[in-house]
Amino acid sequence: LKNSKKLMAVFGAVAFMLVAGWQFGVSEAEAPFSEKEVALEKAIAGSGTGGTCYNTITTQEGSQILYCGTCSWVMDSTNSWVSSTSTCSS
Amino acid sequence: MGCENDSFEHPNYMAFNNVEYVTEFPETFSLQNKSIPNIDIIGMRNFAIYDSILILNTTKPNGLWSFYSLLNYQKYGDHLKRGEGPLEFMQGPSASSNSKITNEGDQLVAFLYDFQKGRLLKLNITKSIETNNQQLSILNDDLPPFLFNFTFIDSSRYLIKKIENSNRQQIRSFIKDGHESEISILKKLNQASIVQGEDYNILSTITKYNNKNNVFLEMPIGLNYLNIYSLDSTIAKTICIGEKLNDIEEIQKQSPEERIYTFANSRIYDDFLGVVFINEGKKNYQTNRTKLPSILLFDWNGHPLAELKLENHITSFDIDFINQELYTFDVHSDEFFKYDIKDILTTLKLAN
Repeated sequence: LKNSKKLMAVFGAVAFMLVAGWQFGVSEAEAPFSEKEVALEKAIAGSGTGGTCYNTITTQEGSQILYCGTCSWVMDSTNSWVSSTSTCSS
Repeated sequence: MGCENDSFEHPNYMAFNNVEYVTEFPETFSLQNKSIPNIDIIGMRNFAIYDSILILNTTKPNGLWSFYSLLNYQKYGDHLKRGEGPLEFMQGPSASSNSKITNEGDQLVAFLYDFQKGRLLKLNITKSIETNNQQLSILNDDLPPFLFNFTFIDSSRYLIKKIENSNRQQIRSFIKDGHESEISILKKLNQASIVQGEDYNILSTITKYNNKNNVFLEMPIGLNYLNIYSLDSTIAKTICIGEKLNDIEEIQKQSPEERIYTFANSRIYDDFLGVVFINEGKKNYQTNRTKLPSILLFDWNGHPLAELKLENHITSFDIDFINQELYTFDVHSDEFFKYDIKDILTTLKLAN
């Protein structure tokens, strides 16, 4: 029973990732930075940036976007056109 | 082609009074017969070519820049690390924009803007390759972070562009020996503004500096024109692709997904420049790209030279003048190709 619960949890997580990937149209290859990068950026969060931020971003040279995950500017990136927004407080 | 246009009012145009309209190019070439360079492009974001060196911009934490020989694709090494250390980067510097790669004597060096920490660093590429040991030093640690453009002129002079006025404007200014000042010729461009809460990237650009001619190219990513100028006002010209300048107020009336992604990438050479013209709406571009891009070539007076039509999507390009080959890369599909352009360079009489 324990194992089947674990399996269900894994299946659920994979299904969520697949749906999220389909919904936002952002492949891993397009993701502008790695999890490690996000973690590092979190470490320096609090740079005083506030305003509307985007939860899903993709690569675009010359554009900058306020990414909700870190509440900091990410260079050469833009919001996915279906991205939800939130607010970062300064 | 070419007129003085005072009829439009700022802040709806990020343009000079002198506008030239380009509706056709004197030469058109279709790039065909591509081949695939034998290079590991996993994690590649962008690239640049200098002499016989290919520089790949990657997401690899221990090699944000990878160096290869263009003669045989031998790998020279990986340099620049991601991290929080004193000589590490939170976000890797782009090999394509906000960095300056140039020769200092017989050494190839790169001046790198650290976007996150507001610093200027110098990477000696030649020595790093020769010693297989990164030769990186901090030149200036007192620059504003998160600049929308950082353009290196020399080690004490930079042109910068930062977001201001509640994210309604992107303001260009000049830094010399640490002192920031306004440049009169750029007031016209600085007046461009959007309403509060709108997408500030409508005003975003990629700016590059040509040392030989002392001229800047400023390429918007969401407007259908290019600005070419010098700080001493010798030249201040807008090159519009099409018959009408994009009106910033009209763009804001469009839904965000309808707005046109115009230019993706620029490359500058001593005697000419090139831009990747996308010309597709944001939603289409992100979901189902239909329009094939082209590379538009101009001389430094803004005169059109040629349109290079592509058979695949690209986000960046550069030219290997030694082997007379053009390389293209698409960050969304990870396609890296090269084309023989000997005939094109000969026809256009172009060299670096």
